[in-house]
Amino acid sequence: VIARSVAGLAVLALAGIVRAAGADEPLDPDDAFRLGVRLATGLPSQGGRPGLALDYRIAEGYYLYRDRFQVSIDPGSLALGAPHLPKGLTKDDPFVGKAEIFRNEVTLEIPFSGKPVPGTYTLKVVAQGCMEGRICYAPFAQEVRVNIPPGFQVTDAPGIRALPVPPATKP
Amino acid sequence: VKPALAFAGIASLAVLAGSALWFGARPDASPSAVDISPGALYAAAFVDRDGKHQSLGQFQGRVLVLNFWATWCAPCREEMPGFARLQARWGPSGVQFVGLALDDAGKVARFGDELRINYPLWTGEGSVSDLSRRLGNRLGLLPQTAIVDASGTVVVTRIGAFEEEKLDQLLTGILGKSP
Repeated sequence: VIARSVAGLAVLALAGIVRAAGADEPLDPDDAFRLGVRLATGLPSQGGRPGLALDYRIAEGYYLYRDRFQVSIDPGSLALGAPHLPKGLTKDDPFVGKAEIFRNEVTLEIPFSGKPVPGTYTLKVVAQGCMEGRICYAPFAQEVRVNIPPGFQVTDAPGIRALPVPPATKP
Repeated sequence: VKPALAFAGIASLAVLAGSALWFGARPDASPSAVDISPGALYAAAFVDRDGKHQSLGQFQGRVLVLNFWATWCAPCREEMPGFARLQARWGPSGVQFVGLALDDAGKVARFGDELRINYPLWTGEGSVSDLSRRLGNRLGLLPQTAIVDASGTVVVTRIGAFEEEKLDQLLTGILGKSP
């Protein structure tokens, strides 16, 4: 019994020692997957319709799964259409199989559904991703706030970063 | 337990720690970050593949290896066949592996069948992530593995995949004997 206790203590001590040795600690999900939101007068994927652009900056060596995003907004008085995601990279993992992923950066474009009601809103985005070959993140939620000023859609209010509207294409 | 065996166990742990330091491996959440009593650990409720409620209390008195994983997590899937081999090797000596999935129950069952996992794979609405967090996993990282001794005390926690050989050495140290 004593010997087991000693061994147990040794395990405790060594676990602490080994923990302290870590140099390449996985990033906090908020740092690995930096999320920002822009109010956009025209979303390229939506034929120039206004909406919200969610920008992820993804740390090197990390990736997000394309089919794992969930977006919700509070208050729900701001009606949103379905998010548009660009085509991702195909990752063929020997243990998981094929999956579409995003590296470096990606923008989710979400059109307004109807006329946007001015106000301040909180977007909650749940995503899933991994640090290449090391660890994965359980579904994690991030929140970003966006303000829609009165008069949006008519003219851009000062201080609002808007996506450039793509030039009209000739038929 | 003979002192010689205990010494061998401690020595193997020292070698293990040394090699882990050398290669930069890293059990991430130390047991000091654990915030759960043996009673709460054994009472935590999960669901098995048949939808029946299960708790870890049924394994009280055995050394538990709790592995948090998901079917979409590549490093999780990579280490699990090794866990199945260790379950077969250590099971008769009083070690019980339990996989706790942050995932859909149907996918978990299919994966278990496909890889012939020989230990329970449970799910739980909220209970899996709650236990993971209380075992020190602040960032919700997978895979995570915790070793619980026969009295319900968490003695090792690790975030990231376990090499089969290293886990085997740790179990030898904890049990003070080879299987």
